[in-house]
Amino acid sequence: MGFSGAVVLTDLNDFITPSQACIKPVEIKKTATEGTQIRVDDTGGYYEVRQDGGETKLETASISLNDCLACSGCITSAESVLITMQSQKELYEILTANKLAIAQGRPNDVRTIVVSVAPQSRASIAAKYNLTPLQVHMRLLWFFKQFLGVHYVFDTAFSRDFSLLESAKEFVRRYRQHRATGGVLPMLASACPGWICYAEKTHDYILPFIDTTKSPQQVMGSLVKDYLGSKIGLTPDKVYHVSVMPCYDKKLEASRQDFYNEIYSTRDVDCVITTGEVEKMFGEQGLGIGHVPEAEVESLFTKAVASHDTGIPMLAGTEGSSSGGYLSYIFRYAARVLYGINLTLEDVELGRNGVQVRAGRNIDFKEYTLTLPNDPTPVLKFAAAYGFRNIQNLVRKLKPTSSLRRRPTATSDYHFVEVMACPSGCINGGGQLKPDDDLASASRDWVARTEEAYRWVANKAGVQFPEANSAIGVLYQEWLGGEETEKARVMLHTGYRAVEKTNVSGLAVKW
Amino acid sequence: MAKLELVAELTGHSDRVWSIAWHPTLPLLATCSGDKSVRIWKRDAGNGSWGCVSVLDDAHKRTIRSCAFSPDGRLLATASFDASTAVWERDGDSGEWECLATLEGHENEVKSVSWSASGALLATCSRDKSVWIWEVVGESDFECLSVLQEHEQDVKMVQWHPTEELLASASYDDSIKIWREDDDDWYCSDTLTGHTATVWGIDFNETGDMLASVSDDRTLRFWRPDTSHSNAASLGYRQDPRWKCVHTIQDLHERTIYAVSWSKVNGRIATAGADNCVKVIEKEAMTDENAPKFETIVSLTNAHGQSDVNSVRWCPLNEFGDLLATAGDDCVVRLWRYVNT
Repeated sequence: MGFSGAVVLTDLNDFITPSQACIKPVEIKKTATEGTQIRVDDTGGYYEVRQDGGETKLETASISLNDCLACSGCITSAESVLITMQSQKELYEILTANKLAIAQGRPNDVRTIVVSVAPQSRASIAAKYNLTPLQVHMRLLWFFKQFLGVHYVFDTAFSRDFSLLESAKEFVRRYRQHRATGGVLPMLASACPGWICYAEKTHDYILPFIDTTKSPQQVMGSLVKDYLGSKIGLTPDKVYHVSVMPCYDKKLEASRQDFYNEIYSTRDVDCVITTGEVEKMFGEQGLGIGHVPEAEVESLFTKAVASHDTGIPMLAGTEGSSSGGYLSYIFRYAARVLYGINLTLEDVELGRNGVQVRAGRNIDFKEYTLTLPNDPTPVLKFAAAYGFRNIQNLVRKLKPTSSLRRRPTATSDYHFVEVMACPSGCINGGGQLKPDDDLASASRDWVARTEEAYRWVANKAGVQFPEANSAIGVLYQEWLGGEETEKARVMLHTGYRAVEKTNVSGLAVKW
Repeated sequence: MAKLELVAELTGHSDRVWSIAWHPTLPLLATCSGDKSVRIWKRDAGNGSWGCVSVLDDAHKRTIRSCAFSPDGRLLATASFDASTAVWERDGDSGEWECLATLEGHENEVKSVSWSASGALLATCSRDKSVWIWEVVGESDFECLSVLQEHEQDVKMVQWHPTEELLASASYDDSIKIWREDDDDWYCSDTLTGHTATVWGIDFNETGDMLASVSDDRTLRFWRPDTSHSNAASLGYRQDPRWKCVHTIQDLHERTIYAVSWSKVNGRIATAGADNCVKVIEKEAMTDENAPKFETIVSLTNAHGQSDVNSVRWCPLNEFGDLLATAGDDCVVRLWRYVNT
């Protein structure tokens, strides 16, 4: 830029725009009173020049993920911020610091590094490299533990069992209350951070409807920092927790104030890297995912079962959608607990034994109802609503003051909605690997291929229901002191807050 | 000599008038303004004079930037800087307009609204860079069918094709995009580049085989779908024809051109802009469709005194096809008759 000499600026509080898309006014601490000038030097440094000639170097404006969470300027965040704030570089830095601490004989400064991998990320890598998700898991185990020196690799399909169990209980509680005194229904799924951000920033009336259960990423965060930490005798700040996710917005979720430990100045999930960033890491290390060795599956905090044939641990399957399967699990749980009806996975999937499945207006909307014999009114009415357009219609229908002036609103009579911001859900998350050929038709096939890879695990090993995951039962007792305890509430649940509309600087906005 | 004769001066708005919509079947027009109201003006069948018959002022909290009648004339949609779009219904007996629904979802200022030819779809666009497509459900509800976020900047205007379910949008990113539907969702089938500044206005001709666009670059451009299928390179990836620019009129106005209207009755094109001028352009007969020639036949200066002219619209009724409405920063709406002496 051709700045030279002193540029006179008056009452300007944002002279560096972090990115064109971001319109958050950045406040810079200035001592400026009347008549001060700003000087820009040859290196681009900004100096406040007082009338007496003294200069003070000004801070460079930067936007953190916390700023994004608190700003209503964008729906989620400027992508550039998401990519720069948490990335594989941070993990490399911790790994390097660990090596240095060992070399210099400072074992107390070595941080225990944990990587938790989402099943959707495994499916994406499997689809691209013609591997099975099990192979991907074993290769990631080798890569992170043996190659990079990470201490533990976990699986968020494991922590998701907590999310499913807690969500189902919360649903039944809300449903019973609704029947009795009119509670808050529909319950809306809470695992998608893009959706949560959007609701908090633009539709505060929707917040009471959202499931208070933490997402699998954040349950794993509690498990790693609270339980694992205390088990191995480490304070939360001595454990560095990375998650591998199909989604950039998970970085925002990890940055939420609710998941920050003020005593130890540490987050439950310190860093989120996307599937794409993991692929990049292999490249940076000169490795090809297709050619690296595999390490044996370990069962700690991993949804694993022993293979029928060999007895060797392998990944266990999960039920329902590739976006966490919340709808399927809660539907079956509610049918059993509320109406004594035992539904199989196929009953829900195919619409049998009182279940009706209805396709919606587009491929990203599906409705599931359960009717009892002799009563045509459904006792359970669930929907899966993915993508922004379906979210729009959902929030419109839940709006309290009718948007229709004359006729009554067509209110939503759903009991539960599995809401995901991405079309096709998490399997098609923004952080997933992309096909080389970026045509729309190819991308549809690509999503189908990734979905198929995701299903491979359940087809191969069968579905392990959350109740059948014995480690979860043990953890409820050992870690949380039982179900429905205060500790269980703190560790497994969270809350949502409306983001105040900020007065965005008109000057920074492109018209 | 062709000229525009002033027919009527419609006063009542208390702030700049942004946009005009003619009723599809009645001698009636709606105008919207920075005064947060819509005014409905009607021709008196007795003495032929024009007067305000309704003021719609209780739905929007900020400037109303654009308005559009549904093809059957029963509904009026209004787009506002308050980030909402309102849909009004005309009571058949009283003739009064009543707000039926407000469509929310845009993050900020809604800039334009347009009904599809069948009246089944509504499109809106906003400073949030998105184009939304809504479907009319039942008598009074709307469902969002698609949120299209491919423009890089503020979207200034949306306009449906006169017969097909094809939408055009114009943006501050200097481009025009063409949107179509496939089995499941809407997609951008073409991006028309050529303008070197904000595209402010677009309009199709009667059959929809041509599109006119006006811009801050002071040009009027004409586009046609290239249907010569022998040329595979001209096809989009879904085999949609590519639109190409077949004619450009440089320096048509001295400042930004804000609006263009292509008469569905007589094929004449009218433009208006920040140089306070209104122009009428005619396509020369017998020119090659792929290299048409145009002639500026009327150049009216100071159409609204020293004020910008924000909107220009030909009346769609055969009987009044020579009527042209303009709206300006002077808070006034003027009706002109095109005469060729």
